[in-house]
Amino acid sequence: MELDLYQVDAFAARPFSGNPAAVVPLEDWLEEDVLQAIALENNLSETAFFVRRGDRFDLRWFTPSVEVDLCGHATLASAYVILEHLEPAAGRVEFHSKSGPLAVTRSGELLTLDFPAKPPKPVDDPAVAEALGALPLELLRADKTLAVLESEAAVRAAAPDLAIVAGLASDGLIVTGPGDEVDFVSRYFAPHAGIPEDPVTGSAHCVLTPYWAERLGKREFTARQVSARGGELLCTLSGDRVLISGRVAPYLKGRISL
Amino acid sequence: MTAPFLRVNVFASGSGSGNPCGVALLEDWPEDARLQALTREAGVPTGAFLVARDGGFELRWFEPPGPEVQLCGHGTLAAARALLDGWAPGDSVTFETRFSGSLTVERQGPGFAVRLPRLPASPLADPAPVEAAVNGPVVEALAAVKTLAVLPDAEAVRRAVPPAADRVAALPADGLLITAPGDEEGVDFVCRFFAPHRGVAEDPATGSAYCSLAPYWAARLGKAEFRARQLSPRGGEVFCADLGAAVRVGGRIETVIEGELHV
Repeated sequence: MELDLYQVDAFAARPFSGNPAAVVPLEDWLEEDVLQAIALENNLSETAFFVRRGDRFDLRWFTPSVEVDLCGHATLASAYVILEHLEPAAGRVEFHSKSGPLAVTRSGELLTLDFPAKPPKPVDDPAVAEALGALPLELLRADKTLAVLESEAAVRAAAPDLAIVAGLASDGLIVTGPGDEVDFVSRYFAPHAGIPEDPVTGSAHCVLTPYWAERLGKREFTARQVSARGGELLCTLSGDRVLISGRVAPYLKGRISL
Repeated sequence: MTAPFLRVNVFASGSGSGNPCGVALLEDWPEDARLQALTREAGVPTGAFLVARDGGFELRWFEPPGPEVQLCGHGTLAAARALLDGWAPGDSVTFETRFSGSLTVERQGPGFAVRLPRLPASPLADPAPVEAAVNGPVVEALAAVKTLAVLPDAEAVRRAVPPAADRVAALPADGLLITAPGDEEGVDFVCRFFAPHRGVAEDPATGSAYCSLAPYWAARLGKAEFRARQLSPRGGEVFCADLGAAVRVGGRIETVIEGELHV
């Protein structure tokens, strides 16, 4: 059996930036061990599979080792493949996933994820200062811990002790600060999930956007994740939702044989 | 602009085995940084890049984040497979390389084989650093380009724990190759290769290892052609021969992805 496979960079500002994902459209679901084997062989952070069901698509995400409940960048990547290659006339894609319904809309080159906002609350956790080697300006937590630093330079220079971060009572550590050229910059560390630092993280912006909305008194933001690969996002707080937009850069189109 | 791309597993003995390599045919040589980025982006440890020149092909290999690779056996076989079964059909091809001269690949049996330099290993006066890296006694300790430790049996090779980087860095040659007689029907010898000092904890299947393994086993077993298994977690199957003036290293090549790259 042969399957189409796409590799694209989500939230890319230029080629070889953003977060890479593989996308494999399926006619029907294959056995889970086959999906896992494809993701392992791809060796990218995530491989997304989808199957059309009427007007929407069932969507699943696999890392090289496990199936995951939610993956923003591979959702953006999947929507790109559908809108670019399978349904070029459509402007919106609806997915059904383990995390419920997810919609992606397109406007020009920008694709937009509609995700739940996760406003963080102040928290006291001395382990974060220990991991960072300095006291953050502010420390907050939703599902992820958010450490606010004073500048973009401080965010870029951060080198948290990942052994301590792995032990935090949260889904990893975001560090953020005001950007030099954009509203805010961030980085995201998830050693507990086997990811020392994620290149670009849609779900971190579910926490970041409500924080910066409160602090800056506005709703729309330009954001940059200043990882080694780097990524660019536009974030809008809309009630209890966050609209996260980015560009997708194609890298590879091919066929795999099983 | 797009470039033809093929991702394969070289020295494969079943699905998901062998050494992964991506091959792309480019119009011209971009900067090295771009070749590194294309390799990283494809999610493969090794990228083999081809440019057509004067009726033949130039071949280069990259394994980010390391520098340009000087000689890569599996990357050469991968490139030959891409051309001979697809982009430039035929039965043999000779590549021009930057650091290793001309390399010729021919169809052989169920796969392809490349002629590589013969690099016989010489016994080491002091086996202590090798025994420290292996964490146990060795039957013989030798070195050529790679350090070669001969273990008593295949089970010792199978059970070997990948050595720490500092122990491998202390060896007289580049990386630790361990070998022993095979214990399966039709397998002449087994081996594994570790290069943690270069960021490769264990290589799945290593073409250049057979430049020294073929002459060693030829002398020990009194024959010239071998079927070998590399007992890495992915596993590899290699057919090799000591030709006297060179070695021949070959195997099956499994296609993983066939497509095109945006370059």
